[in-house]
Amino acid sequence: MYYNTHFNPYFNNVIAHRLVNPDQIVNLEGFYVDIELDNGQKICNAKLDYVSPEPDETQAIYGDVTYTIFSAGQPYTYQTNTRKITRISQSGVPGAVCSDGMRSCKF
Amino acid sequence: MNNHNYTRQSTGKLMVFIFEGDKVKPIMGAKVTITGHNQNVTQQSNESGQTNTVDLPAGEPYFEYTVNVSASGYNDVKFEGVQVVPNITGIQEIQMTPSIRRDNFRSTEEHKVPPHKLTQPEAIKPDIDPIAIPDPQPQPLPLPQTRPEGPLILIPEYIIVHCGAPQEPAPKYKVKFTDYITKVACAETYPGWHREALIANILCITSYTLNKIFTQAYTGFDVTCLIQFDLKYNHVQTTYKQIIEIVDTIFNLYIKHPDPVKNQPLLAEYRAHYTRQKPCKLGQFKSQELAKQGYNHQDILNYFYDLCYGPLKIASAAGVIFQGRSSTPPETILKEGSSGSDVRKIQVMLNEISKNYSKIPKINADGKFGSITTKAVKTFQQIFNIHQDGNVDFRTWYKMSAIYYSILEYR
Repeated sequence: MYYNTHFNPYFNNVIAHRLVNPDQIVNLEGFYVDIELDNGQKICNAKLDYVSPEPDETQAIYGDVTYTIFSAGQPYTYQTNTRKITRISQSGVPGAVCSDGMRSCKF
Repeated sequence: MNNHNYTRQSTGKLMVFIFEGDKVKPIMGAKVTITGHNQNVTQQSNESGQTNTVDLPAGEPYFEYTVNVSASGYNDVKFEGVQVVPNITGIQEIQMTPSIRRDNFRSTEEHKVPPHKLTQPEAIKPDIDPIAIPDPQPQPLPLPQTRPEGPLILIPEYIIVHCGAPQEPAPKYKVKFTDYITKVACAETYPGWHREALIANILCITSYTLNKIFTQAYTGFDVTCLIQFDLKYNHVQTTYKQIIEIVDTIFNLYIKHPDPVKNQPLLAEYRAHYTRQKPCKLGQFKSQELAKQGYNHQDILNYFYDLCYGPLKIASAAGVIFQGRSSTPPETILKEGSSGSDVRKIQVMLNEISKNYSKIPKINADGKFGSITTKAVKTFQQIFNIHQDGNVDFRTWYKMSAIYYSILEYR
């Protein structure tokens, strides 16, 4: 298979609480992901737009994440931080955070 | 004296572009060997990662060559089936993988460019009625950081291509939107076709793709790369200058849905051999025939589709997305003598790009479009196959932004 940095093999690992750091999810940038936040909210089939490349945990932008949810075909962009993410996985694969078939947000 | 029977051999041109990441880091000094059809040509890539354009024997519809690339610090690469089309300039993009081993023990990655779609039997695809596809419904969302201003079609920076059946696990590619449209067009049309036929086909490809994205046809990806479900996408497809030029010019245009209530672009399907009939689809070989008779792209589309939908309308996307945010191109074409914040922005982008593409001269980002900025723009245009006029129009701005954001992301 042709290798490139924009190629993701079948990725169904769910990264669990306290294991989510920016380094682990930077390769998901641009891909569709399911996210569970620490308030229990599940965000399904969101496009992970941006993960802050800041390596220093003491910096304010460390772990900043931007994602987009599409509603009625329109993109709605949100920001969060990896510290608030308890689980994240690629969307639509077995074992994904929203593997019950839901494709939108759960509140 | 021998009497040779000379026949004039058609030739095509091939340039190999070698880089790391998504064209973010050109690889200089790579050894490139092109073999096949009694040819054995060796080239070295320049500071922009590109070889000279080489003339090679070619026949209809194309001749296949093998390209081997080796570069210090990277795995060797072998590409088979690289397509050289008569009287056309092809570009074989090759993305290299840094090697974790010493040069003597590097592994070789082997890839094969699949045969062109039009040389293969027509795939069996289910008939989909575009009129029956509903627009996606709004869902309750918390207050977002950015909110669109209405039903808009936006061009995404990347699309996610799933290389397998929709319900089956398969590898996914993250591909720049314009690269996706270009590679599909190169895999599904002939680059030597009439420009108006190519435009009509490319409008169908863009419209089809934007429909799939807008209607969220799949979960976890935007399209498949399989012709049974969507359009044929080969990640290693040879591309052609003619098609790159058209895609870079019209990638933000799409066919409006005939139902005025719907916002989705038309799911414009086509088949290699198809005539004017219901259900309406574009016939690719017929489109070339019509273009040669003087039909323009709008006439060609209407020839096939007005039987079902009446005259079609072409619309322009409302904007483009970079890093998840809608980006606005400069309101006017920037050229020598222009000044202001838009000029400063393109100077900043060019300076960032020039860190990797050293052929582009450094500019003082002062917001004044002078002769050095013109030279930098022309060099950028030369590297990325844009007509070298030194002006920054929508097409140059978009390509510049795409490379700039890829470089930022790659760091």
